[in-house]
Amino acid sequence: MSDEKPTYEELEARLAEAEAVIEVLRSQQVDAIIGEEHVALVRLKELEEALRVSEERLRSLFETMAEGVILIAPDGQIIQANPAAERILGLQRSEIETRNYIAPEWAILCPDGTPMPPEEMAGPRAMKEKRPVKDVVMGVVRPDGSISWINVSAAPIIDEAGELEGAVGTFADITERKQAEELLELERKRLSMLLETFPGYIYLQSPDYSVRYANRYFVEHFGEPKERLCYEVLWGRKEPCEVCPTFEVFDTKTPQVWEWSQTPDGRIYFIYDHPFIDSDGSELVLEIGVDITDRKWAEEALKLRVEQLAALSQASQVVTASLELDQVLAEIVSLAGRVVSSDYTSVVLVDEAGNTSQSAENLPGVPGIEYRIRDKGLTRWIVRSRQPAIIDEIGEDGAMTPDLGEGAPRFVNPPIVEAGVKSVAGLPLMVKDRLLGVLYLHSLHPGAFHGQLPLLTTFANQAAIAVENARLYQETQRELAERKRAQEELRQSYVNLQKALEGTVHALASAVEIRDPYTAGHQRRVTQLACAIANEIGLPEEQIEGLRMAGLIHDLGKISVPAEVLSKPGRLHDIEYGLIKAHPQIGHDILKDLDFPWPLAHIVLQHHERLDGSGYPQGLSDGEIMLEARILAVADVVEAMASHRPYRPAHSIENALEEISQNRGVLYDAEVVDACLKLFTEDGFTFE
Amino acid sequence: MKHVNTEGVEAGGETYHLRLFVAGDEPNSRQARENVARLCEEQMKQRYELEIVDVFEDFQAALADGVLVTPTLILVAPPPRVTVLGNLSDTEKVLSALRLTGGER
Repeated sequence: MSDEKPTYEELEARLAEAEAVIEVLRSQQVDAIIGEEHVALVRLKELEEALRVSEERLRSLFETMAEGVILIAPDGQIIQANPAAERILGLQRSEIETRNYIAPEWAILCPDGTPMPPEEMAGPRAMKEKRPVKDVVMGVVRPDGSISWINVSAAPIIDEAGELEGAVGTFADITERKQAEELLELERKRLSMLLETFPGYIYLQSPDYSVRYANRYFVEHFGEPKERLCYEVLWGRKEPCEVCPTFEVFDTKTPQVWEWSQTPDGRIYFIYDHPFIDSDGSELVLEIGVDITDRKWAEEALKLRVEQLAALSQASQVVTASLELDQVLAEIVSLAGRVVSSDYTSVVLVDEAGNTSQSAENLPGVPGIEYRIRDKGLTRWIVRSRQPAIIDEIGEDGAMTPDLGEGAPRFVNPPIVEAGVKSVAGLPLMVKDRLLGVLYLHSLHPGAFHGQLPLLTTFANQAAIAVENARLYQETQRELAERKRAQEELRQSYVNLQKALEGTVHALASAVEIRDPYTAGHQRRVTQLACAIANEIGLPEEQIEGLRMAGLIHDLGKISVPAEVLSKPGRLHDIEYGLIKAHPQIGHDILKDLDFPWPLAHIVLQHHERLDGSGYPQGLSDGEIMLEARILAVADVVEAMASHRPYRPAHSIENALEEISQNRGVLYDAEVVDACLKLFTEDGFTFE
Repeated sequence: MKHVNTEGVEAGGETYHLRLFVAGDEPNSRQARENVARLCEEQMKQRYELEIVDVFEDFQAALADGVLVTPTLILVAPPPRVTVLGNLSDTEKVLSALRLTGGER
């Protein structure tokens, strides 16, 4: 207005003016207030309304919001709590509102389950630090013992003067979320452990050559792939590999399996490649590799073993097929090359006296080695110890120092060195407990026989059996020849004896016939008929021979009958007849002490016996008379009747046959009679 | 904005010169405008000159008249100058202040 001091009236006017303004403001009839530089709109009604609505909204929000809200006084006393707080904390609002925020009734836990000190809680921190504190996770033990996990944020309430009025705390119930997170964490840990402890490598290949993921196995075996490209990690290359089976899957988009044998760590892997879409949608290849080295090696070893066993089986057949010792030794030498990978082989046989006997070898340039057993040689050691010796390495100077224990030989074998041999196996050839010799295998490679002992022993055993068989065969052949010669000698001496016996028999026969001219030729003719009958009946040759001998001397006993009695015409006195009847007994007595291969004495003794027991000298009957005697009896009767006797003229053959036919089965054996009749009637038999 | 009823002036007699300060079309200002227009028509017939000033358009005019709030009605003439605040809804009071009722004449 003016710089002059205002008059009382003026002041009064201004006061009235001010009062009027206040009054009109109170009556809410003002739209705007004019200031020095601007106009301020005044909308009190709307403001009030807005405030009311706002308050109502806030109240509604406070009452209905899912999050718990509490208002805290600076001393921590809880002033107000909303229904969500009641629900989450499991307490009545009245209970909450009487508690202090840090009162001991609360049981508050840290996420790891330990008690949470009050100074770590969101409200006290917000008030102490005078700034909002967010996301403090804690567990509140509810009255029923269950735990509500809550995520608390708090902000201090500070008035215009900067004084702390309290704090507001909000919290969300994250119990379910925490449980889900714990489950998820458990799953994640399990998955992580699965991948990290998987006994093989797992990695994700990106088309840009980076490795998106690799498990611990991969890192341990091939190196850390972070910030590096696959070919750098695996091969230390500067550029991608020309060929990569893993990358092929990016083109084919189909899974594939393969074996990776040329690997950075020298192992063999079975690989499984599969197209893989990463969580960000990018196309990758998932590769899983499992180490199958041991299995492959075992398979290879088994395959080799099967091949060797098959060869060994074949070898045993070939070796044992031959029985000639030289051929067998040559076969062993030849087979050793195929079956036990021996470049040069020698076999040396040792006899029971410990001397070398026979050998075979295929050492080049060393034909026909004269094998000798030297005092300190390997052969002697093997022969004595009967142990195999495997020498994995032969020194440049040809020195062999096999690890054979106490008393083992150390020796140099120049021919072997000259042949370029680097390793040797010496094996005893044993059959049961008997040593036949030594088999030597030589290889141009060091350690060729290492760990092969079971196979080598089997081969040596097969070889030993073949050698033994050949030797047995040779011995048998020799024995057979000897036996044959002995048999021939025996046969010859038998023939000689036979001739001597026959001579004796003929001499005896002649002695009888000289004294009795009537019976001269009788014994020969009886023998002729008896042998014909025996032949007809089917007697064995040996028995017929005995019958022949017996026939020739069957009347030998007559040698003791006086010649006048024998040749006396007419009837004989009883005494004379008695002398005649003694002749079988006397013949028997003469013959019984002589050694014949036939029962001559008994045949002679029984040739006058008859089936009905009427004969002499013993009066034997049917079953007691031997067959030769029965045949002789029939032949004797037939010939006697057909011949002239001093005491009667000769009868006809017909009469003789009539006689035996009538007494068939009574005096004479029926079968013998039948055979005799057949001879005369059918076969036209005549006496010579 | 000025609203002048020239007929009234020319007709002779005492002419009322009124000046109303308003803030745009705010509720009290609108009400004040309606109230003053009705009063003028009813009480002063054609003997008045009404000038309406919108403070949003003419801020300086308000300062020059020492206006603190809107709506404010100033009786410029005949003297003495009278200022009435508010939306002029209390007709009796307004007429009295403008010396249009017998009591105060």
